[in-house]
Amino acid sequence: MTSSQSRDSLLRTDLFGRTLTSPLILASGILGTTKSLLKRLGEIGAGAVTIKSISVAPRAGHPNPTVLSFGPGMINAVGYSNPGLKKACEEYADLSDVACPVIGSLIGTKAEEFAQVAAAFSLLDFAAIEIPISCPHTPGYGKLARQDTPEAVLEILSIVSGETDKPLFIKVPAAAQNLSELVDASDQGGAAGITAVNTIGPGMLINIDARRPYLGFGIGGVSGPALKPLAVSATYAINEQAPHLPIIGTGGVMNGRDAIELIMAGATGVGMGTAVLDRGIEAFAVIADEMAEWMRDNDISNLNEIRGAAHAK
Amino acid sequence: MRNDLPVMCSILKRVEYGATAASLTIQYPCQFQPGQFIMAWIPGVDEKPFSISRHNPTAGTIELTVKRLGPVSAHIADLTVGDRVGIRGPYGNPFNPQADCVIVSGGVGLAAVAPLMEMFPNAPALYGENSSTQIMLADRFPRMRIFTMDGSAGEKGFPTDPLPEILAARKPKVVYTCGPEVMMAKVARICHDAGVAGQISLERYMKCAVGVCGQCCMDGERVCVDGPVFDSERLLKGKDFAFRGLDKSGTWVYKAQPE
Ligand SMILES: Cc1cc2nc3c(=O)[nH]c(=O)nc-3n(C[C@H](O)[C@H](O)[C@H](O)COP(=O)(O)OP(=O)(O)OC[C@H]3O[C@@H](n4cnc5c(N)ncnc54)[C@H](O)[C@@H]3O)c2cc1C
Ligand SMILES: Cc1cc2nc3c(=O)[nH]c(=O)nc-3n(C[C@H](O)[C@H](O)[C@H](O)COP(=O)(O)O)c2cc1C
Repeated sequence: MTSSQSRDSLLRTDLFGRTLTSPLILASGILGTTKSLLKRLGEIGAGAVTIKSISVAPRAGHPNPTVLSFGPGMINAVGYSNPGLKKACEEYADLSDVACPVIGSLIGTKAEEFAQVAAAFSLLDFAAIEIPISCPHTPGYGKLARQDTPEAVLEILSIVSGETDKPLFIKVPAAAQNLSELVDASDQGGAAGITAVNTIGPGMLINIDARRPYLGFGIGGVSGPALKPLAVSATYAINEQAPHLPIIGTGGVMNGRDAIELIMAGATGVGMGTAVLDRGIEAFAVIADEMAEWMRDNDISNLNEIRGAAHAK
Repeated sequence: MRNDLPVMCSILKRVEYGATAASLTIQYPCQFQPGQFIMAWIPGVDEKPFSISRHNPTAGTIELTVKRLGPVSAHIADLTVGDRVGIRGPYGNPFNPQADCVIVSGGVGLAAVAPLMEMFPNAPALYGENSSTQIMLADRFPRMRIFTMDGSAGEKGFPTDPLPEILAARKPKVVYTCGPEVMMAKVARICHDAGVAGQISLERYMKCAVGVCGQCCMDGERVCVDGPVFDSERLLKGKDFAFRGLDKSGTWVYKAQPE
């Protein structure tokens, strides 16, 4: 019976009160710069898409090179380039022609900024709001501003939830020593779920012939296959600690088996960024096909049957 | 995944075109198809896309033709023999080469179509600049029909001026073009009216050049990997061609419109 089941019925996933046709979600900062790209990704079959993170004021970001592939992964220091809140609200004013749910990604350097972006996002048709506290390479934000502490998470969640009723996801750093406290703070602060993980960093690569770091900003965050073990362990640990919190497992997913691996660690959604380099923009369809094929081969009819399956019960 | 980090490469030769531009021959063995570009990196400064204006697979060299517009292009155009520049690529979706063609370029767009002009020595080549001091690659392509806006060299006017007539007379299979977007919009409309296919090489602000960052998006396409060469009919059906592009921050910047 299962062997003929359609991809959509195999992969159907409930998340933030919506039903996604696939657990595969575009991670923030990859392709999510315009509505036309979100629309294309929806047509390709992404389960949901996350926009590039938005701050109140426009940001040009760091000088190039900003994104480089080095073999086992990518290293990036884009530096949160974005058009600012006003232009972003114009761009995403009407999301009705994007075939899948859209997640807003919100960043700020201080309370008023979080509040301002949250209030404006609240009026847009975002299915959820993701708050990265974990960027390793942008001064004023994330790790470089110590936003990756339980105190900061509680404060940010209290400000943002004062402005919007939308489900909130806290995006945690990779290899966080204080992961369990961040999860507790997210839970207490009313987060609807956790995105795990952001890039690991700061990292650096040096061109020895030029005697200079490759990245324009010098340091950056590492994504892709090199990051996968950290994404799997974070997802596993969060699911162990707070099984009621849905997780968007993100990091190094390059094929259907990687996606299943994160689901077995306890993820509900599976974020993908670097896969777009390796597998093309069609990755959201191709990897969904690979997941469906594995499920048929293994007589699995629903992802709930294998979610968290790697945990010793 | 591929290792795609920039490699430091030596400048072997340099040719100046007045004060505005220079061609640099660089040691960089690679596979190349006309229309593709590389990313050129000046360590500690910036990294930007440049078309390969000539490829010599035997010598393992590429040539860039760079016009001084701002700090990065000026820095690159000022490089001298023995200096090094970081290169990664080639990237992008190339032209689909067909001998029965007409080639139209404006300004430094000439760099992108130069390999086609070499590949098809019998194809008519129209090239426009503002004035005589800006003319490039004239020695390499003596057959080029040059147009200047001030009439200081070649014919006075735009390279698009004789295009309708040429298309009517020759009925080529395709027109290749690269240059200012207003000019390419004109070429696209002329091709459409004449029922001739057009292939257009677009320019947008690029960062990653590998289809990941979304910086060069237009009409849901990524100019770095889905382009830079697009079919003109496809562009005419969309909304962003000759209309707008994202700047460095991802803000739409609207383009000058034809009168
Ligand atoms: C696929 C691709 C291929 C390219 N190939 C070449 C090439 O072969 N040779 C080459 O010289 N350049 C090429 N470019 C453009 C190049 O990448 C840079 O954008 C350009 O050199 C300007 O960079 P800059 O940092 O020096 O100047 P910026 O600081 O970006 O600009 C300086 C000034 O020039 C203006 N300006 C920038 N671009 C243009 C333009 N196109 N027309 C008019 N004014 C402009 C700006 O508004 C500003 O006032 C290509 C771009 C792309 C996307
Ligand atoms: C080029 C690039 C830009 C990114 N920008 C953002 C961003 O703006 N906001 C954010 O929360 N995460 C950002 N990230 C992190 C990704 O969303 C994701 O967490 C990380 O890349 C791991 O997933 P992957 O291995 O599938 O790429 C970025 C990653 C890359 C590679």
